[in-house]
Amino acid sequence: MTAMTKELTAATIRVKTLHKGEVEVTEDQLITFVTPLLGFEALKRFLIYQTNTGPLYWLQSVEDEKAAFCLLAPFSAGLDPDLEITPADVIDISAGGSGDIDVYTVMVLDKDPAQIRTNLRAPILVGRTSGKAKQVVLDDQRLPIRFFLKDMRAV
Amino acid sequence: MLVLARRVNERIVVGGGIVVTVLEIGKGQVRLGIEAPRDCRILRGELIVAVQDENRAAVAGADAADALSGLFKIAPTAPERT
Repeated sequence: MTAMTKELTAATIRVKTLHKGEVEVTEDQLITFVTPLLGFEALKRFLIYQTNTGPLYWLQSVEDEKAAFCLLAPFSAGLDPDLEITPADVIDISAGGSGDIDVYTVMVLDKDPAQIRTNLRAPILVGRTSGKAKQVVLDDQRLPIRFFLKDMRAV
Repeated sequence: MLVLARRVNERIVVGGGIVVTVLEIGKGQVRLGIEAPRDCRILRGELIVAVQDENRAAVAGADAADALSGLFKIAPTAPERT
């Protein structure tokens, strides 16, 4: 084994994903929650990947293959929620500013399309360059925890 | 957990920057005034529980992608097997 392949082997991690089977990724493709995803306090490292182009993503836990979530990039989806990101949030995820942050909201999928919803009250912020993430619960009653996508035209 | 008794108008100071004042004590309810830095989000505990519950409801099963058909004009994709 050459020094170079040795280095590559050390840097790659195998992640069992819901939709792509086992994938090999490098450390810098993963994100780390600096404050936990609420209800999943034991899980820190995740992979975000897409199976389609569009505003939907998958959030896959590295530590628990069953912990997989669908995420929405709300601004790309045509939603324009007023989310107050504080300077402390920016510091927490070591972002260079609010322009260096990707915002996602957690989707709840359901067989019944009328039940498909996303949580606008508690978005996930990811520092683009740092790979650090946190879920913030916003103090704004106008943002619903259950925003049903069937109501999207109303926004 | 620190437990302490306070009367109306008495205060608790947390971490230097946060002051909690007991404003009113009613039947089974207490009204609090909270002064905190702007950066510091103050939330009702039930809201955190509601978000935990919604996150747990969000765990996607293997058939989750099927539910996405029609959303944002996305066709369901068959899971790739390796």
